[in-house]
Amino acid sequence: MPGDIVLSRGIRTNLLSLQDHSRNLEISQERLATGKRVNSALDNPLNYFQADGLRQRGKDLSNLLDQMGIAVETLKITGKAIEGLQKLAESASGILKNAASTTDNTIRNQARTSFEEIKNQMNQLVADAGFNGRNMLNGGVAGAYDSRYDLRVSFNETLTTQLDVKAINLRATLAGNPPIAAGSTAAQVVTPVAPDALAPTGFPPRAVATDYDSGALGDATIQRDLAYLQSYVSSIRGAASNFGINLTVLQNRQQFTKDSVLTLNVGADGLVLADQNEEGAKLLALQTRQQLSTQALSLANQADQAVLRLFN
Amino acid sequence: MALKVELKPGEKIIIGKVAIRNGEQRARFFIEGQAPILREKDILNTETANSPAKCIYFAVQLMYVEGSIEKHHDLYFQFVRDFVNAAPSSTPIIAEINNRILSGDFYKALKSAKELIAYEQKLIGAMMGDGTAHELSGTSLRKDGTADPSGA
Repeated sequence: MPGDIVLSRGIRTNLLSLQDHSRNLEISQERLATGKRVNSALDNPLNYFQADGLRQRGKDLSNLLDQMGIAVETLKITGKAIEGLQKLAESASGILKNAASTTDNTIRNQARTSFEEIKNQMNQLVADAGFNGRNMLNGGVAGAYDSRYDLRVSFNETLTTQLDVKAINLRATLAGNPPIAAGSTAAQVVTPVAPDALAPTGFPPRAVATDYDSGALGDATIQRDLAYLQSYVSSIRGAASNFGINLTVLQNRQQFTKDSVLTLNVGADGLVLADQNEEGAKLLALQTRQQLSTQALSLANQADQAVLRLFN
Repeated sequence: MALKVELKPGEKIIIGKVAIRNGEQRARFFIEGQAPILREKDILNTETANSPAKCIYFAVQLMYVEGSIEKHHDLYFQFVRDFVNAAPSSTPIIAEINNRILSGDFYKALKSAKELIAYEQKLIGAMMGDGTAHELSGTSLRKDGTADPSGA
């Protein structure tokens, strides 16, 4: 065709080289923009897919981290609730002891009402101890462990390692006990209750605030409720240490997983620049730096505390 | 299943929190139950832990012997971060070590750390251009590695 432009060989070579330049420019700009040297499978297939695999593992671990985060929050809220329960139980205890030391029925009846109020506050606290729809203090039967409410947290991508935190019901049923029947003695009712098995449920709450009236029956009722409070507090202490230990374990694992994700991502980003000679040189430099650093000293310190010191 | 161990005269082994040194004759015994077990040839000390990968091995070894991650967490990740920054191509091996630590399987983590030491030697060897891996003195984890002797 007459409009065709014929390119000489020299110009064609120049054009090709210009096109190359412009392609290289695009690649450089993309790499500058993304900070990665390998952006697609075509750049360097092996490194690309390996880096991609590492990022995927990082994402899997991040998903676990989300679960761990929720579990940590759940245990923190549980721990706070238990602290609150402990304080309430202690103040209830104080009120009952005060009632026991007087014969004034007005004070005794006030104590009875306060005790009922504190019990309600405790149960409210237990009911509010949930996070993200999970409450570890409110499921099942009062005073009992119930595995249906246990908290399970996975620690690795393959879900083969996990932590199970036992749930316990800490609803207070203390003041739900019937008044002591005439003829029974305090000694009979003040039986020690195992920390895991608190007062049984099923007793109707007392409507009358006169159970603590002065006299043998009132005294026995107060003593019995005090005994229940005591066993309740010891049950709380057991639960608090159980949740506390698990929280520590969980937080340690959470930190380790966070650092692992970071390592995977740093590695994946660096992988696209990987060059064996350069890596060898950097490792040698690192070796020198580490030997001069305080890390070597920390290593020696930590080894000194272990059985390994015998091998130094 | 009990783990069978044979010790050469004078050879040492860590079982749990104690180190045992053999007498003048070869000894053969069986270990039942769960405890960290490390043979002398698998143990690095502060003198022999003299390369970046060996420092990582050493930190995992501490976790294994003491059964505690958190105590050595910071130091371990300092070494790991330095290593990954210097040699990103090692990340798959390091990810394996991390995963095994997270699963509480320190013995297998140690075996992966051993791989890292070999890989480090390969990289340094390649850079030196002599193509030969420098022999690692003092460490050679059991080859069979069929079972974690701690049973964990």
